Amino acid sequence: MSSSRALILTESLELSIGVREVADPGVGEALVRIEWAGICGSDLHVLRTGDWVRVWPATPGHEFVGVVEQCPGAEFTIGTRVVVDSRVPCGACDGCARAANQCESIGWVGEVFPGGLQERALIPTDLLVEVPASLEPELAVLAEPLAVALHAVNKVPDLGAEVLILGYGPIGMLVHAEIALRRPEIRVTVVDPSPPRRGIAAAFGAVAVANYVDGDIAKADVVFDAAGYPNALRDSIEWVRNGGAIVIVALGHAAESILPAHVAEKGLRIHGANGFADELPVALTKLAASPERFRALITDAYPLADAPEVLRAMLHEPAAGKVVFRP
Amino acid sequence: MSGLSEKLAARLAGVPAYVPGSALPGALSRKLSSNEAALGPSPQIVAALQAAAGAVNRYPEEAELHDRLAHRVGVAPEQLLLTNGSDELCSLVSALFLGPEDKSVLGDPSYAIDVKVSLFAGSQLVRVPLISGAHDLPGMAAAAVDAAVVWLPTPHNPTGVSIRPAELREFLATVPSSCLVVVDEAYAGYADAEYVIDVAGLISEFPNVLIQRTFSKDWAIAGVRLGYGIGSSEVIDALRRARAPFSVSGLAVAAGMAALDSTAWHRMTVDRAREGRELLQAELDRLGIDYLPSQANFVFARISHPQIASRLISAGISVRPGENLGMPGWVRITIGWAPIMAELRSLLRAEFSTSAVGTKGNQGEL
Ligand SMILES: [Zn+2]
Repeated sequence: MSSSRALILTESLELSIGVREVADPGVGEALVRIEWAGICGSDLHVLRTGDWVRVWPATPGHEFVGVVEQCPGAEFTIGTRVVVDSRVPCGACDGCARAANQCESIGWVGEVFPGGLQERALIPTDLLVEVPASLEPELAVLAEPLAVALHAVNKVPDLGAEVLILGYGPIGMLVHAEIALRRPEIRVTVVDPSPPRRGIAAAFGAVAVANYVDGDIAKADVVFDAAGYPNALRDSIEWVRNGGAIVIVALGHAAESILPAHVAEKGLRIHGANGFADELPVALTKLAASPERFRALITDAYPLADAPEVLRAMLHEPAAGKVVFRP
Repeated sequence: MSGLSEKLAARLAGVPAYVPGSALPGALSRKLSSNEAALGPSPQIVAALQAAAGAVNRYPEEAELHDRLAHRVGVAPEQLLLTNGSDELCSLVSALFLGPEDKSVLGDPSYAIDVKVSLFAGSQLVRVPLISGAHDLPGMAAAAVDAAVVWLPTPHNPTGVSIRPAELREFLATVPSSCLVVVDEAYAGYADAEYVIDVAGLISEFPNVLIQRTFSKDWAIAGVRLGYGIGSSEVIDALRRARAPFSVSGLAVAAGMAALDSTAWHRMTVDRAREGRELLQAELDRLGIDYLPSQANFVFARISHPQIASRLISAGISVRPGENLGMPGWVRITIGWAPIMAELRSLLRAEFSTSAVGTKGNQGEL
């Protein structure tokens, strides 16, 4: 057993810093000393609702980078820097037989078992991916959300000339980064009500507007919904050109009514992008190749001790970009 | 050769050696010792430099950048001079305004380059100690009565303390019009609005003022060397005649033009540096560590460098020891990238927080 200073979420949704006892790893497991852990919108959902958690008290966090401290099966050398594949598929269903992210009862690190917002975590070695030596850990922490963004962009083979991104949280930012690296000539328009987020979008060359009526949004070849606000799909259908594509990567929870005829008449392709498939190692390679494209996307960083206070504030007011904690 | 050695020794007497900020092995993002821009140049600047690389067989053409910059600053083109980094302007000032009969007035501590060019000119240094990190303006005004040049960086480096525009005007009104006052605004891009100087108004009211600026800090192109001076057309014309014709490189011109197009990047990165400064100062407040209120992209804190050196080394983070800057017992911390600053705050907590000891098992401490 070792002890790990951790963010603790109780079943009554109270947040504090405490200590977890971490079991010694067996074969097929590693003890990882965590260097950085990022916060995702789904973590905030867990903090609000307690949804999806299978072990109480919980320690959230499924975006993290760390160093292997113990690995009895020698699947990884001690000292190897790794990121974690956040998906925990059941391994038994028909979906799993096709792809991990098609599991019928998929769970996530930080919900199925304690996650990255602590000093040390016990992780199955088949969820670990080695980080390239040239990549700073502070950037490697972006690998998991970047894999999600890559998966979304990969849904559309031809991005066209005009892309519209709804929502410029970390996923919207990373979708933009990938499009700019892949096809710098594409005109990207971003819709987000937050001035600091629009500031980041503009700094990276996008046209950034607060809402549709304010801006001169041309009909887009592809619309990425990374916002999930009520009626985001209806807006996407309206703002995409005929024959264009819509990729829904946000988890919008408000029911909305659309006219199926519009989808048919416009000849649209609508894709759902859930998590990622095999993009995690690709994400690490991209971060290592273009670190300066990603550095500014981490807007807030704190020692883990500050996490309860910072996260409580984030429940009311989201940060501009990616928020990371150092255990 | 011994005759040469003696000559050199005489010329170099008292000239300080420059000790650059150092980086430990590892990522450059951990270098918090040279006040460099944490997020790098804008994507437009990188693209412009790549595009300009193919034309380096040509002599540089600076006219368009010159005119655009003058327009942006709000002065006439003949009131502005581009230089090879702002350091070149120091050399030009000393070449034109300082000789063995002249007095050169500086704060203490001050920029090493200002000391160096004053000494090479053979001028007499008058050092006026800072008070609480700020220039002693009455003391400097008294020293300026028979001086040729006053060097006045605001925000000051290494203290980060800035002069308010009203104080500056009051000071200038007492300085003889024959004395050149060099106001170095290298870090002014990070200052609060209340510190912003009306440059055009100032140089028309005081023709003996020379504003010194750089693209090395908030515009993030320290590596290509681009600075400029703003002053009366008479002063600028003299400086231009003293300057070498092609001292600003074609790459610097290209980067400077792209910088002027990178306003969104500039705003984002300056805002980020200012937020980082607030976070660090708040942490120092909590830990009870004395610091000078900074208007720059660094904070000067009363921390003994030897006391934190081993923690810094193990984190791979470098800061600037005050010993190198004329203020032992202090360190100058550049506001770097957010994760590195968080690590630095952790490190300071571990060293200086009394509640950092024995928190194991306690909830919500530290
Ligand atoms: Zn399954």
